[in-house]
Amino acid sequence: MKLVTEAAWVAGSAAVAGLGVALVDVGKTGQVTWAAGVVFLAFGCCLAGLVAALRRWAPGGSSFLLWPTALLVALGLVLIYRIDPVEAPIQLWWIVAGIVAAIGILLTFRWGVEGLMPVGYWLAATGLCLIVLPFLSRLLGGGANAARGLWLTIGWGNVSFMVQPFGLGAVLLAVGLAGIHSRWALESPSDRADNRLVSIRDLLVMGVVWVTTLPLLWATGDLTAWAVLVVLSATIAYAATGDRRVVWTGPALVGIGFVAGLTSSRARVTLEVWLDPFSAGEAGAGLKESLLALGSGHLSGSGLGMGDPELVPRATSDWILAALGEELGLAGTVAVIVLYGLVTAAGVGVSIGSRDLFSKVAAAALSFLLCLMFLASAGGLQRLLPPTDMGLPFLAYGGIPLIAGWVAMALLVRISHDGQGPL
Amino acid sequence: MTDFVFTALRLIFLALIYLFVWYVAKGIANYLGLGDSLRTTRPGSRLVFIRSESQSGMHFTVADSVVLGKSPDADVPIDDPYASEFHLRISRRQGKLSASDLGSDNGTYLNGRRLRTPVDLARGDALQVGRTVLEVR
Repeated sequence: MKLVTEAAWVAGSAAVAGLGVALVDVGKTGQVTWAAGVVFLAFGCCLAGLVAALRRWAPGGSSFLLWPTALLVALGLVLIYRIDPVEAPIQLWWIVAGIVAAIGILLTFRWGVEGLMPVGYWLAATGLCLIVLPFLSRLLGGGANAARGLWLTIGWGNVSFMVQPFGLGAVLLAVGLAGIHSRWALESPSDRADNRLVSIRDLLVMGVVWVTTLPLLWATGDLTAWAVLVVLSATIAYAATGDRRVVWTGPALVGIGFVAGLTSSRARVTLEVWLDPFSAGEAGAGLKESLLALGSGHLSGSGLGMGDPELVPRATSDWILAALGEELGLAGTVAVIVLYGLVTAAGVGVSIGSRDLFSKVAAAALSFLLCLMFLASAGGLQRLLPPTDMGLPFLAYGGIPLIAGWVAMALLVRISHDGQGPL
Repeated sequence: MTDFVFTALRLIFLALIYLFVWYVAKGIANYLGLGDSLRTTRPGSRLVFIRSESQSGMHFTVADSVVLGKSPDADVPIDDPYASEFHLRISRRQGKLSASDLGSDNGTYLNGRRLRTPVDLARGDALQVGRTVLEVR
């Protein structure tokens, strides 16, 4: 892509962020403050830095992966500024950290991502540890206040903050599982590269993910987040082997786990909230307010700064799409859905165009992870699925999910670079 | 500020988002080759390996005539145990690409149908040689 075109994309993304902040100011106070200019410059500089790194270390990579991501991050920043102006500067710093992490990934893997395949076991194990950290925190005596859902409270003395290690854990798990399954698929004696039969080892790995994450389901009651992990493990096994029987194993494991999970009181509460949020009391407040917010948004929304998203509990993180639906309406929500669809489509395109099996499977795994996280979060918010604490990647407030999203994006761009080139 | 101005600004913001989404969608469609495959009547000039053990993403342009096959002496070597030594020929005639099977053991398939006679190729056509798939772009 030409430098001028990329500069236009950077300016366009930063303009959406700056204009959005200006509209929030106008909607709330009737006048524009300096915050719009700061956001425009800061966000533009961050993206320019990332584009420079892409041109340096992955010039053949698909930069079209970057632009829907940048727009989602810009919209998230605008909404966070709208809902809680105190959190907006922190989110801007998290964006900087995420972009620095993405540049770090591009620099580290400037000669390719093949080095990740042999360390697949370690990546998957680290990912699983991060995912079950909220459960371990309770088990090791952190008390009920140490973890709420997928969130973990870390504190020293009077200072404490909440982190959600789920997103980063899921990214590490996806890349790790891609490495494990690809390695076994390449070792397979079958010469049918496009249709290797799934082995006991592949099923065993799916079982390990299922068993290891089941305590998380019991501890948090988050049926949807847990199902994302199980479906992801089945999808990766399918991408590596091409055996369609694995596809049916995923829903079967989800079904068995679902029944097992209902022995947990937290899971039962989640189910009650899902079935009838309006009579679930305090537990159903988030879903109830989210549905009301979405319903009041109509076609084009109430306008930035003109709605009442602060009525939705944890509106900047768990329920940010409800705030967007209220203030930008159906039009804004559909735009976000299309953007996530485009990110997934571009990721699948990267997977198809990859030259080696590991890159192919890793790109598919990361794309499906982002897609599943979006479907789970948006589905939970609209009562199509049980509600989840899992934040929307790129859009929601929170450092670790945002950094995880940028890391996944950098890996996809790097893989797309490796897939290019003349014969 | 009047409601009218604010409503206009709100719609401009949404329009800006959709403009952005439209250009991104167009770019990704081109990247995925969807923009080309929708115009199947247009002749193509480039072949891309879209499924291959080791050559996915690679591409080549046909200027006059090329022979594809497993042999290292083929113009375009195919890394596929199911391909014949000299499997098929792709040539350019009056600006159009055409494919002809060179009597290969496992055959050449165009959009899922076995090639019996030389056939003109259009953008979006998929040629299968063994388990390798090439797309005309």
